[in-house]
Amino acid sequence: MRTPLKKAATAMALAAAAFTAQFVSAAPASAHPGADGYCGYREVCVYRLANYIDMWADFFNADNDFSDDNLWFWDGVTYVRGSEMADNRASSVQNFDTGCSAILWQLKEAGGINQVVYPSAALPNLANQGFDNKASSLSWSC
Amino acid sequence: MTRNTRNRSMLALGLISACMLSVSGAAYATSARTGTTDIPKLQTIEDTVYPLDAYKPSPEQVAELTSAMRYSLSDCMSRFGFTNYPKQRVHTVTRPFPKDRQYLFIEPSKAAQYGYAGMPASELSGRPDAVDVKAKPSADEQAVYTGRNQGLYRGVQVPAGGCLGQARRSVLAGMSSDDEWFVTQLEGQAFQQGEADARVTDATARWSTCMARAGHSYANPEAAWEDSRWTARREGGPLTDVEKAVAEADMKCKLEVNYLGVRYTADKEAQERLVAGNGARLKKVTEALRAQLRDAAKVLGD
Repeated sequence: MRTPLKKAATAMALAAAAFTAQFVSAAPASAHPGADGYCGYREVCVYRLANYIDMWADFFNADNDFSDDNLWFWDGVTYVRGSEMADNRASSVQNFDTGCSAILWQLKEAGGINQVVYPSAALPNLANQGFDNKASSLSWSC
Repeated sequence: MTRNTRNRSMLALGLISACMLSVSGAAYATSARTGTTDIPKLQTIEDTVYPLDAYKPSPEQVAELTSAMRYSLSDCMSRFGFTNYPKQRVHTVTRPFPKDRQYLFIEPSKAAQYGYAGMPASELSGRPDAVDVKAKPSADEQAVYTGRNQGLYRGVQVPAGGCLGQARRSVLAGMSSDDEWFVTQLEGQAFQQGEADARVTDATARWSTCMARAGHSYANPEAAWEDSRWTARREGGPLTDVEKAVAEADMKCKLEVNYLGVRYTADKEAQERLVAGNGARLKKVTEALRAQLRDAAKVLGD
């Protein structure tokens, strides 16, 4: 899940509250709509190849399923959302947050072996950790 | 041995052997002999200790290193006119997440209530200060922060990797990336060795039989955790009675076959072998961490 509901959707959300209240998991779609292809302030970015190159995905909040999160690339003019998904594609990672650890998980919804990326830390080659092309979800620890 | 005292033992190498041999007694209910090793009967691994834990920075040490990087970042960003980076110490760094999830375990009552999420979505999302990402800093500020696409800013050279890169170097200098992540590398190897352990294979087969008895057909716990039938709920749809029933049966079967105890034992033994075979390199990593903490103290003015 990525962002709070936008103002325009608030009324609809309130109207639907009684309906959604019956569900214990009323999370919005897990795709990260705030992603813009720019790996920056307080985000964590996963890259398709080692040493932070090729395509990437930027995350600000937690994400319980990378299979609907597109990888991005730079076409020389702007950041473009590619067709390939981030699930099981990350080979390096950078944490641009200085206060929170990012945790990459092997399986969806924070399951299986995990890789803790400390605040401000970066791992240039997840293959060294036996974690190449394994990340499927992300949580934060602050 | 508590988690904190365990972590403090990292710098006291003489205690490492003791750490490897002692595990929190509170986590054990009974012990059953299987093969050549006593396998503890575990209902959680939250308080267990692994041999490689002794070589990892404690939460307090992570906080010190993080604080030092923040101080350095603040100095650097200020030089470029970005003053909204206060020198604030990080006092607490919480656990990443429930450790049990690495073995795909959730307390059965939670599984019955929340399915494979195991907790309310608001808790699973993790970040307490999740905000609208539109509130990001300007492109210029981010470029100085990360170093991306930025050579000069207002005539001043931006450091390689931006101010964040410089902050990293101020604390992590002198330690190669390979050394920095060597312990997690060994953890990954141990996890893979543990998965291949015959006792784990046997426990998985017994878990599968137990699940079949409950009316659910899965070859292994990963298949149940990632069953495509839960995808809709993970994308915001409703939690189904089917998922709740499968998740609860899954966890009860794990307890029945002592899945946590077997996985923990296999991983612990694999880590013991890796520690024994990498003593010199681990000593180097420990010394490098000491140096980082000294550098951090200088940055922090301690």
